[in-house]
This record gives sequence, structure tokens and C-alpha cells, in this order.
Amino acid sequence: MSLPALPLIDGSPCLSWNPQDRRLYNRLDRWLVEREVKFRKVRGNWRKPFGSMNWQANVGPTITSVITEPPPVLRQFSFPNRLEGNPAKKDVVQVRERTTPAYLFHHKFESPVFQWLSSFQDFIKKKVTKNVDYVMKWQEDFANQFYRGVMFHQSPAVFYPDSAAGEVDDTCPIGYGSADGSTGKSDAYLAAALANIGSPGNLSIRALFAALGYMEEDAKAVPYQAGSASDDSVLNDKFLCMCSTEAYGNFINDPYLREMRPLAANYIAEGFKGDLWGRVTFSLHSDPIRVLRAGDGSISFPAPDIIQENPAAPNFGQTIRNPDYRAAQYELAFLVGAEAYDIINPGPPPADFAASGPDRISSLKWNGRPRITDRINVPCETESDGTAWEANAYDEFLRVISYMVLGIAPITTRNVLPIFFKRSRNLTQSLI
Amino acid sequence: MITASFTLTANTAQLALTGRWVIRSIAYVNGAAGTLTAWDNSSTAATQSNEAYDNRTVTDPYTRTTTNDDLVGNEQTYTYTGVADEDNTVEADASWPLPIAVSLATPAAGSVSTVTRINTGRGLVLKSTVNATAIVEYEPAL
Repeated sequence: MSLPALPLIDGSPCLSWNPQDRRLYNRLDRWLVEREVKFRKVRGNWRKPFGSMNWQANVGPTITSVITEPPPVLRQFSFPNRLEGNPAKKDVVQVRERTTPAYLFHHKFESPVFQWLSSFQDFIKKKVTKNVDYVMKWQEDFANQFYRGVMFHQSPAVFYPDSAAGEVDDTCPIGYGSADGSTGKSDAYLAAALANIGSPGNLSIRALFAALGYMEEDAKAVPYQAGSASDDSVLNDKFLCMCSTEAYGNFINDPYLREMRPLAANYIAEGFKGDLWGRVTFSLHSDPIRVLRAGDGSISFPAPDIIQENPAAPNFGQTIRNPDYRAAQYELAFLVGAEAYDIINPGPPPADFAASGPDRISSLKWNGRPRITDRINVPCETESDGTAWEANAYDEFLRVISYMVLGIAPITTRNVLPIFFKRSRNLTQSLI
Repeated sequence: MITASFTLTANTAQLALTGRWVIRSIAYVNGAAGTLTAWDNSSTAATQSNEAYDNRTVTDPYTRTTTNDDLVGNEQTYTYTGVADEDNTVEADASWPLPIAVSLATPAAGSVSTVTRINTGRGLVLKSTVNATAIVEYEPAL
């Protein structure tokens, strides 16, 4: 419908329909509202179940712990000589020592370089300050991933439920692991071992009972005692099973639990709670170690999360579960006893580097506390199309940085038993 | 619970199911004596190619001796007996056989069934030595 040009003078007396052009005037494309949303809380702190030790400076790169070992029990019966007419036989009791080394590791964390223009014109304010919180959370995850990785690779045995090669592998390789999967419990080792896990192969109560038996009888592992761990009110004379909420939640489907449950137990309304046999209690943790096994038998450790990068998707930009992580067939739980590891406190940096004063711009900080810095070199394109680097003299840029030094000292590594199992959420005894 | 029937050709592996399933029962129906085997895989291959990896072997018993002087200069020989963990390399195996999850056999034409708790990580592969039918009851594992 064509309308007369506006403004109009001397228009037709019958002109009645002349709607305003909706697109003529300025308006906001959309109304932006900043919303705070709750994210699923990360469960599981890998520092709490273990002790701690302080690193001593100026004594070298390695701490070697010396532990006195009790003498072995060498007999099941004893047959002393009769007193009359027979000399007494003699036992000579000798204790031994073992040593275990510990090292410090370090890692740096940074944000992208922030530019003042974005902070001036973008909708969400104070993004630089908010980024500090995210770097802190990232570091906590990093430390947890490091600690549990060391425990896994250092363990002298691994439990594989329903494995055709035997459920306990106490000849597994031991090391510190590496990003390429070539050391420690290597990818090649796991590809062969996981293929042997039979059925059901899940973290069943039967499997936990068998793992507990190995820990107590064969590994000679020591349960937690009162006062041996933080928040230990439930850990007296117990072992701790650190597993995912998925594995724990699936216990209500366990045939052993169903057979042995009290008649009054209402697992539908109340779920399964508490410990097992008065010997094993549970600590749930997020983003457990999971393994994806490909069609050719090779394995990988997919990242737990990923970002939706399709601009046409309704949740563009959202952090979502990685599909490969969701498809992972195997998961790792830990059955933990007391005094397996000590978390190392590195202490302060060397005094010369930690001191601040009028002659210093800043000082070395390695406690993992994120801070904002403007000490950045800025690239500048020269007239000859080269790149020169200039100091951030005009303070146009900021960056969040953090430096962390961390370590974990193996004490008695056999007190942690990794349990690799097949994931399942639906092992019900359905009558349908 | 899902029930599906699979027609099997003699000595030909068939990928019956792909993905994560719990196999509750398998019935094996044939017209002659035969054997049915089932295993977990996402293809009909019955083997896996394993790379070489390191682990440990235990030498039991293991004895070592050392010599040292005592405080007055006498040379002493000390003998220690126990076990020894030693580094070992498991050689690569390009045709490592996948474990059989269940095996059913009939001595003559007929049928046999079994309750199972097979939890497939990649899929269910079936193979019969004779032409046969396998009836599988299963449900999702995840």
C-alpha cells in the first residue's frame, strides 16, 4: 500500500489511513539484562581427605621421605622347642626403611588481554574483576585434576570389576603420567586393560566389597582413624570411596542392595544414603575421570565441557557437556585409606624475589592468587610491516595473571585403589 | 525392555546392537548343533590391535646379597630374600582376541537361552557356527 509522502500538506479529505513508519525512529535493537545464574556446584575437594606437609626451602628440588617399615610376618604357626633338653631357637627381628620422593610443580594462568574500550562500551560491567573469580575456579579445578592424576598414575594396583584377566591388576605400570599418555598408566596399557572388563562391570556393591577386601587383606591399607582427616567425623575406621553422583545414585538399582535392604527402606523417596558395611563411606565429586573407547580399541580422555559455537543455535555461547564425555563408557572411582598422600604447601617464594619496596615494581607471588596486571608488552605494526613491541605505557590494557606452585607427596600409595568401571545409569531389574 | 530377533548366517559375525545396552537374556534357536558367541564391539571384528605397553612382573622368590664391613673391619655378606618387581614390556598384538561375553551351545537342533548381565560398552556382536536365530532382550544402560 503506497502512502503519501510525509509531512503532508493539502492532503485528500478522505485520507484516513496513514500509519506511522515503525522503522522511522531510533530504538534499541534489544533490551539487555544482566542475569546471574546458578551453576551446578562443583563437588569434591581433593585436598581435604589427605594430610599436608610443608616444603622446606634451600634443600634441593626433591624431598625424600624416609619411612620405617615394620618387619614382615613370616610364619602362620610358631613351633618353639620344648623346655626340657632342647635349646631355644632364635628369631632376629629387623626393621627396614623405604624412601619416597616428592617434587614441586608449577603452572601459570592468564586471562586474555583486556582493552579499555570494551570495558567502556560493552554491556556487562567490570568484566576484568569478574574474570578474576573464574581464574580462581579454574585453578582449583587444575589442582584437583593434578592431585587425582598423580594418585591414579602412582597407584601400585588398579581394580577392574568383572575383568576377564582378574579384577585386581597389581602389575600395572607406575609413574607420573604425561599429556601424551605415554608414561605412567599409559593409554596403551589402559586400552588393553579396559577391553577385559566384562559384565556388568559397573561400580556395583559387589565390586566395592571385593575392592575393599583387596585393600584390607592384600594391600594392607589402613582405614581413616578419628582425627586423621579434615571433617572426619564420619571417617573413623572407614575407607572413603570418591565417586561421581551418577555412580552413587545407581546404587539404588543394585541387586545386592535390593536383596539386603531393610523392609522399611524407601529408596524411591529417600534414595540410598549412608555407608556400606560400616566400612566404606562416600565423597561425591564432579567431572570424574572418564575414558572414551573408540571402535578400534584406542582410548581418550575427553574434556568434560565444551562451548556451543553455532551462532544459529539458541544456546550459542553456552558451556555444555562435551558429547564425547557423555558418551564415555568408562569411569574412575577411588577407594581411599588413610595416610596415602600429603598435599605439599610450597611456602613463600625466596625472600629476594618475594620482597617489595621502592626499588621494585612488583614481587614474585606463587600462591595461586589471581591479580590484575598492566605490565604487558603491546605489539605495534611498524611502517615496514614489521612488529615492534612496546610497553603498555598508556595503560590501555590489563590482564589477570596467576602463578601456582603445587605438589603432592606419595606416602603409602597402596592406600589408594583406583577402580575403573563401566558407566551405567539404568541397570535396573525391570520386570517389563 | 526391548526384544529383538536376529537372523544369523553360519560363521558370519553380525553387529546386532550399537551403543550402550544391558543385555538381559539371549535365546539361541537353530536347526543343527551349533555354538553362539557374543562379544562387545562396535564392529564385527573379533580382535583388537593392542600397542606395546610397560607394566611390571614379580620375581618370586628374589634374593640379593651385599657386602659391607662391620665396625671392626670384618667383611660381612648380607643376604636379603623377598620378591622383586621388575619392569616388563608387553609386546604389541595386532590380533588380540576380544573377551567372549557369553557362549551358548546346542548339541542338536533346538534352542537354549540364558539370562545375562552383559553391559555393552560399544555394541553387541553375535556369531553362530550354524544358521540360527538369536532373540535378545535388552534395555538402555545410559
